[in-house]
Amino acid sequence: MAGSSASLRAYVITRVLLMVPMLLILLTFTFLLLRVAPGDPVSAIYGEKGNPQVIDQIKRELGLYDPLYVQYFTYLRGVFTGNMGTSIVSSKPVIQEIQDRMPATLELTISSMIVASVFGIGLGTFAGTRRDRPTDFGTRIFASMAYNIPIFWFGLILKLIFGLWLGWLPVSGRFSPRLNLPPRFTGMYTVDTLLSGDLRGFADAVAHLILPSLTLGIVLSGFFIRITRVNVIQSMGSDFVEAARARGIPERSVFFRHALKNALVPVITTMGLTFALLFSGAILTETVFSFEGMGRFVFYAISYRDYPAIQGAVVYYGILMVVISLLIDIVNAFVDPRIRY
Amino acid sequence: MNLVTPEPATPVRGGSRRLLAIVVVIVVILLVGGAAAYVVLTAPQPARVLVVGTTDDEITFDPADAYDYFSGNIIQNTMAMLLTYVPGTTNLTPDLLSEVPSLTNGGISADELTYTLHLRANLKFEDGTPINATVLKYSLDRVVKLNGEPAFLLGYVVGTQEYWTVPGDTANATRKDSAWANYTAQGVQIVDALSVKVTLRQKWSPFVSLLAFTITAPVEPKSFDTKKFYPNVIVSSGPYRLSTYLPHQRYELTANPNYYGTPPKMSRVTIVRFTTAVDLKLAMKTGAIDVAYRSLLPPDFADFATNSAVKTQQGDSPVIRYLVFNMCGAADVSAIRPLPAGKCPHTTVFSDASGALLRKALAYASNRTDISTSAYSGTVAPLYSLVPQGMFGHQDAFKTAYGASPNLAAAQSLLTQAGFSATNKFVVKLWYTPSHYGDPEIFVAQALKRAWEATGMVTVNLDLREWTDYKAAWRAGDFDVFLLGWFPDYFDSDDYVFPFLHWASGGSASFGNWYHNASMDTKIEAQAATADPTQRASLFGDIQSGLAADVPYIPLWQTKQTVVFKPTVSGIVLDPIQFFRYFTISVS
Repeated sequence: MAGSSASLRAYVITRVLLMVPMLLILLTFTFLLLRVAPGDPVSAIYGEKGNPQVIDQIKRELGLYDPLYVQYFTYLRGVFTGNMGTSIVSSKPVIQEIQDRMPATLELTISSMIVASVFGIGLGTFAGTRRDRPTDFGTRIFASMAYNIPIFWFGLILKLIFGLWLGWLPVSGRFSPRLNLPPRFTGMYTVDTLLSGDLRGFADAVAHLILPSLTLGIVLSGFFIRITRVNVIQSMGSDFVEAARARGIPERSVFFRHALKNALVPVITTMGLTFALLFSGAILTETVFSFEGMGRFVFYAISYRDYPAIQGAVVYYGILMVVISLLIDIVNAFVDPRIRY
Repeated sequence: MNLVTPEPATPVRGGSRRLLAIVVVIVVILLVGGAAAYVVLTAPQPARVLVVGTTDDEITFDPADAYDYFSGNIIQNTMAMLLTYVPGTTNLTPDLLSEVPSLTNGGISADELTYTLHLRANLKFEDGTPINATVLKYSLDRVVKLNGEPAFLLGYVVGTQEYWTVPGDTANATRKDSAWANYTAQGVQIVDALSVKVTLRQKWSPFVSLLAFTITAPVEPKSFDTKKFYPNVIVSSGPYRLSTYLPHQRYELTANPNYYGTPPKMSRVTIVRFTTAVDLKLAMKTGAIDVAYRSLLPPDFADFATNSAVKTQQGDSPVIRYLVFNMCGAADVSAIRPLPAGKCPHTTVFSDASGALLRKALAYASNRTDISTSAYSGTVAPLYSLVPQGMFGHQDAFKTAYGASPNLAAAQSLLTQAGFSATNKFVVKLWYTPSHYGDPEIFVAQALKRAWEATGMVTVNLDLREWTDYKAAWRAGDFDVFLLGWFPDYFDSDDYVFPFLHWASGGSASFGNWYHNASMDTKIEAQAATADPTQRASLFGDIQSGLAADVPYIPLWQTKQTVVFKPTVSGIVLDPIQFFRYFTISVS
């Protein structure tokens, strides 16, 4: 037991240490790619009414006239001191822009992942245990459709049905304009309304989340259904399941304690990475439902070649990916002891 | 060895059935529970609130840096300007100032170089800070010091150019300080507790229009220091204060108790931003908002116009759309201009005498009605001058010169003179940008292609670039003919001619146009230097006639403001300057 926890500790420490070079490589590539790409961010933003003096001043303020190595170390120093610079477009600190948008993305990501997990794991398991039966075929067809459906089209259809025709759910935004916004604790309305005891606001925030999270969650579930199904089938046919059965363990225990647990290891990894990916924003879903989240922020930053904003977003995203990868590895190491050796 | 996939026993199916049941239950709870909660709990609150929907987005609320429509409109509703416009007109009227400066009242000196601005007495910001001459000078000085995006508009104030041209590095610190001292001593001076004197380096009559623009709005000194911009801060001096603000999503305005003027009709206004025009339409259809303003798609507006459940209104807009011809000639290619955009890279078909024939031929062939109907469902107005309808000195110069509708015979005659025929067609690439001006842009390009090709002597190839690349390309002279649009910096006709046609300042070059005509430069300078309306009107007439004769641009259409609102809403005024006043609107 002591050996097991020591090896897990060593594994975690190694993974944490590896985060540093990974982040440095990411930061360096981001910096270089932006400088190599054609176009000048300041001129790109100040097109037709560009005042040469203003353009010159902003370039100087951004340090764009400094040698590349100076720009690089300034950039690194900023990142490590929590200063990601100021957006050229909005004149606001990039960190503040991210903080403004992060809660919307977080709410959408979590709620979509709940929908995707429930549908994905539930239906994937259901299909996996009924291989080649009509219900399996039906589920596979659903998974293929969900996976391939254009997300903006699906979102619009849900809006038309539940928002416009039935009038059951709001079609866009995060909160009714006729209600007072909750005091900001986290920026996530579902949490903030609860913390402030505003049940009416909570219901409104949940109602606003339903269509976007169903849209994104169902589309994502297509992939999860397929990967869960395949792993359940593989797991159910593996030797350790046969061995468990041979020892007379009840089928229910064999399935839940042995087969499903092992089948879910790759599913958890995939879901974790998808979760991290969604943190960068689901731009189509955000656009269709007027969610001002990270996806739209990154889209605008790239459109205007807003160097500080792009760099800030990549740093944020990179750190998130690395941390979530680490967490997934740790969870997997717990679930499957072979991983840590 | 077991080569057969084992059949799971019954209990497993039972377990997965339970999983399926859980899935179904959760989905049902989500849909029904959420819907029920939404319907029951989010019925409109009894509190009176006006909800306005828009697709516009804010950039910065700092008057020293704000230079976009929506930020400016929020500022105008929350911060009083020095002057404002009589609703529905382009006539200036005092706001924070006690009078509109003029030669008659002595607000403008006889030599037209000095403007004396008298503030009303007892003005206050929302926090109680007095608005006086010290605050006004501080605010103007701050604009110059920070040199934000619109600061160049104060470039005629004595000492500003000298201050801006000195580099801000440590090596030039002394020079910079000296230039600043010179500006503060001569540019903007305090006369008394409520009066400030602004001195210009040369006559520039549009200066009075700047007093109604956000750049000259007084700011509260404790909240706006001179070290940086404050994009999220508003300390109100106008009808509303910004009480809650969710960047890019929601802006809640409540009445400012310290506003000197008439209190707003509604004590609370919520402005909600939608990311797409479709969402704006759906929000209006479902009753989530009371007013939909900027920007519904033209077909959606036409649809609402026939819907008896809502009301619609249209009004003039200061936004113009036009075609630009790249007139870069051999002399310009070799010229070294002081501005980066001044030097064009290569000559174009539109540059020489033959190019003039082509430009005129395309002006004859252009079909503004087709653009209006096919691209905008009739929601825009044909435009025959760069100076739009409703602005001082407007004349339909292109209608006079080329007619209101296409004249194919005249176009063919000019094309023949230029050496083209039905078998030897003039081939031209027309550029447009697909998203910056909205979805209809492709239909505009197609309408122009149809109109020009109707001559039987022109082949038009359409091409596009995204906005960022588009901007870079036209300034580099890569396009021969392309579509652009203009929203004025200040509401004076000068802003529709100077940046477009004045060569010496580098204006026409910055449009990728390189038009130059010394006589035109002289007339433009003359109209800007006189405050005499009769003389200015005459000069604007000459300038617009010259524009139609030289055809460096083809004015195409003037956009219209469109608004859709519930029948319970009243008091909406669509200004020709596009100042959307929330404080005149009420909901019954």
